[in-house]
Amino acid sequence: MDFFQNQDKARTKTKVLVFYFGLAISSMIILIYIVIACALNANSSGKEAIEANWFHPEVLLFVTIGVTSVVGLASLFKVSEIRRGGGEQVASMLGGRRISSATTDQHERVVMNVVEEMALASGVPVPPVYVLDQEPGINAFAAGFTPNDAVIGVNRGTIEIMNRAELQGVIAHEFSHIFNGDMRLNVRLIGWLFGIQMLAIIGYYIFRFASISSSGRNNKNGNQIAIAIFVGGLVIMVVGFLGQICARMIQAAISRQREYLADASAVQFTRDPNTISGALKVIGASAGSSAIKIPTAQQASHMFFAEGVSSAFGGLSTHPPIADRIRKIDPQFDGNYSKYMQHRYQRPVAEKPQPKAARKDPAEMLKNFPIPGMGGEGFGPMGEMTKNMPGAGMPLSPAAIIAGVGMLDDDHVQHSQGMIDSIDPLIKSAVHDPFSARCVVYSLLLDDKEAIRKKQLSVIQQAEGQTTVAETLKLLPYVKRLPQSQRLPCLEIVQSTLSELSLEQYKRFGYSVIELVKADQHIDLFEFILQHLILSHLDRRFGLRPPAKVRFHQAKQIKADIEMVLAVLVYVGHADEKEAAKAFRLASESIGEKVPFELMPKSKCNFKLLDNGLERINEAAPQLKKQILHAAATAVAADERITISEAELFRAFAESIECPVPPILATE
Amino acid sequence: MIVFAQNGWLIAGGICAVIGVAVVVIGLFLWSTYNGLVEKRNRYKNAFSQIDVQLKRRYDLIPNLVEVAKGYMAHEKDTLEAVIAARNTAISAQKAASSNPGDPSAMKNLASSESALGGTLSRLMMVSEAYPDLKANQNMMQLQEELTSTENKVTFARQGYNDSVTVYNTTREQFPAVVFAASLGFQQAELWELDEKEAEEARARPKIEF
Repeated sequence: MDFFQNQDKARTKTKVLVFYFGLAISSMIILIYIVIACALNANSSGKEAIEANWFHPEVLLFVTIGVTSVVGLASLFKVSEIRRGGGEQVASMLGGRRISSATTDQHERVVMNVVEEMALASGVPVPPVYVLDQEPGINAFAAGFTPNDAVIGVNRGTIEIMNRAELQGVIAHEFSHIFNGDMRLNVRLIGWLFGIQMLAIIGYYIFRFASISSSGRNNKNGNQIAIAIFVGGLVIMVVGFLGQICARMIQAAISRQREYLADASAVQFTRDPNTISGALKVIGASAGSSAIKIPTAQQASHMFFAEGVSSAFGGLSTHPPIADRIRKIDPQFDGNYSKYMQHRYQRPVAEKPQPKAARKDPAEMLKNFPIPGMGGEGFGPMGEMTKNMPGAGMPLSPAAIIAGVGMLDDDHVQHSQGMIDSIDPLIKSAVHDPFSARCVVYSLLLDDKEAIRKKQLSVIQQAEGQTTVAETLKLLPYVKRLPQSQRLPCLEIVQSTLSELSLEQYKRFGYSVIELVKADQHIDLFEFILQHLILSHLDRRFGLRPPAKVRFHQAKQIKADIEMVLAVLVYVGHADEKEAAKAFRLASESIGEKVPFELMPKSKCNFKLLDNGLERINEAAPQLKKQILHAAATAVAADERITISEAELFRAFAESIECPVPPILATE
Repeated sequence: MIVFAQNGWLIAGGICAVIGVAVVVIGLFLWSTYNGLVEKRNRYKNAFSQIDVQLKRRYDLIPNLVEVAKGYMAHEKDTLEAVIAARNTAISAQKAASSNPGDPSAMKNLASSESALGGTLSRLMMVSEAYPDLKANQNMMQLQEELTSTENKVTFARQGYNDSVTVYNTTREQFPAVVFAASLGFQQAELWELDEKEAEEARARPKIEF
C-alpha cells in the first residue's frame, strides 16, 4: 500500500464512516419517530381509534428532515471550520503554544530538530510544532487536513521525560498519521461527532426552555403544549446522547486500527523497534500519565499518541491498551515497566542519537502486526525503496522514487541530520529566526550587478526598513558562500520559520520577494523555484490561497500542463536537444495512457505557464498524480545524471503537487 | 378535545422545530465567533512568545557585556550597576508579561522597564566612547553587535505581536463578539507601543494590498 493508495483509501474509508454514521443517525430518527408515534397513539386511544395507527408519514418526514439537517449542518460547519483553520486551529483548541523556531529551551530545541530532520527526510514542509504547556502527561498528536497544513503537538511531559530516540519514535508515529491520510479521517470524525452532539445539546435547550416557560402558566391548553415540548426535548436529548455513544464507539474502533498501523509505520520509519516501544513503556510506567486535562480533548481524543481521555468501557477507548501495543513490537515484553524505567534513568540523555546497533530486518520486527499491506512480498513500498537505494544514496530508478513517497527512512533522516549540521552556524541560526530568515531569502535574490542590486535594496528599504537592509547585507557574503546543495534544505527551513510571521509581515515579505525577482526583468530557474517553493506554500498557510480540490481524473484533461512540466524538466536536465527529446519520450510513455504528448520547443516554455501547470496538476486525483510523478522521475533519471537544478526543480514540483518525496540528490 | 390533542402535538412539534433551528443557527454563529476569538487570542500569545525568546537572549547577553566593560571602566561602577539593576527589573516584568501576554498592566510595565533598560544601555555605550581600549576589544565589539541584532529582532517580533493584537482587538469589538467577549474573559489586549523612531519608520512603509 503506497502513499497514493492511502490517500485514495482515506477517501473510501470516509465512505465507510459515512455509512456507519448514517446508520447511527437513522436509528436516532427511528427512535424519535417511535416515541412520537407512541405519544400520538396514546392521545387518540379514545373511543374513535380502536386500532393504533403506527404510520404517520408527515411525522416521519418531519423528524428525518429535522435530524439530518441538524446533524448535517453542524458537522459540515465543523469540518469547514477546521479546514479553514487547518491543524493550527485544532492545536489552539487544545490550548497549544507554538514553539518558536528560534527557541533556546533545550527540550523544545530537541523536538524541533527531530521534527525538522524527519520532515526534510520525507519531503513534507516542516510542520509547526505546538506544545501543550498545561499537560504534564506524556502524549502527542498530529492534526491538519493535508501534509501541507499539518501540525504536530506534544505535551510538555513528552519533551521533558523522553529521550531523543523515544521522541523520534513518537514523532515518526505522528508522521505516519500524516502520510496514511488519517488526519483527513480524523477531521471527518470530529465533524460527525460534533453534529450528533449538537442534537443532544438542542434537546437539552428545548427541555430547559419548556421547564422554564411551563412554570409560569396555568392555562390548560398552554400547559399541555409545554408538557409536549418538555417531553420532546427530553426525547431528543436522550436519543442524541445515545447517538453520541454510538458515534464514540465508531470513532474508537477506527482509531484503534489506525494506531496499530501508525506504530508499525514508526518501526519501519526509524528501523528501530526500541524507539516506539521505549516511548510506550515510558507511558506504561507512569500509569495514566497520557491523560489530557483540557475539556476540549474529548472530541480530538482519537488523534493522540496514547489514550488521552480514559473511559471505563473498553469499547470507547480510542487506543489499544499500551501493553498490547508494546507486545506487538516487542513480544518478549513481560509487562514490568519499572525495570525498564530503572534502566532508562541510568543512561544519560543524549542530544545526538547514539550510533545504532545492527539493524534488524523490518519484516522480522513487524511479524506481529496483523495489518494487511504492511507485511508480505517485498515488505511494501519500503522494501522496494530500500532495495533500490543503498544508504542515503540517490535512487535513480523512478520506481524507487515513487515507492519513497510518503515514506520515511532512517538513512534519509541521518542524511538530513548531517546536512543540517553541515550548514554554516551563522546561516543555520539565521534560517531559524523569523527576522533573519527573510533576509536570507532577500540575499539569495540579490543580483550581482551593482545597478540592479541598488534597485533591489531600495525595494527592501521601502517595504521593510533600514534594519532589514542591514541584516541582508550582513548575511550576503555567507549566503553567497552557501554550497548549492544546501540551498534547498535552507529554503525548506525558512519556509517553516516564516509561517510564524504575522499576516501583515508576510504580505510585506511576499511583496518584496516578487519585486526582487522582477528587478532584473528576467526570471531564472532558481528564482522561480524559490518563489514557488516559499510563496505558494506560505500563501496557503496564511489562507491567501484556497486549498486544492480534486478536479482531474484523466491525463488528457491536463495534457498541456503535463507537457509543460515534463518539457521544463527535460530541458533543464539535458543540454542536448536530442537527448531531451529521448527523455521526454520515455517520460510520456511511462504515463501509460494513450495520450499523444508532444515536446514543445524550448522557446515556448515559460515560467508563467509552468506555474499554471503546477497549480492544475495539483488538482489531479492521487493515482493520476502518481503517474505524473513517475513520468517526472523518469524524465529526471533518463540520462542517469542528476544536476542540482534538476534535483531542486523536481523537489519544487513534488512539493507543489503535495507529494512528499524524500530528497533526491544531485550526482555532480 | 381529541382533535385539539392531535393539533396540540403538532403545534408542539412545530415549536420544537423552530426552537431547534433557531438554536442551531444562533448557536453555530456564536460558536464560530467564540472559536475565532480563541484562535486570535492564541495567535497573539504565540506572537508574544517570539518576543520572549529574543528578550531572554538579550538578558543573557547583558551580564557578559557588563563583565567585559568592568575590566576597562572600573570607575563607572554606577553606570554598570544601573544597567544590571535595569536588566533585573526588566526580567521580572518580562516574566509577568509572559505568564499573561496582552494584560494591560503587565505590558505597560514591560514596555517601560524595557525602555529604561534601553536608556541605561545607551548611556553605557556613550560612556564607553571615552575608553578607546574597550571600544577596540574584540569581545566587546562582538557583544555589541549581537545586542544590536537582538534588538532588531525584538522590534520585529513586537511588530508581529502588535499586528496580531490589533486583529484580535478588532474582532473583539465587532458584533456579536462585543456582546459576550468581556463576560467570557476575553479582555482587551494591550499593544506594546512603538516609540517615536519606530512609529516614524512604520508610517513611512507602504501599505501592501493583495
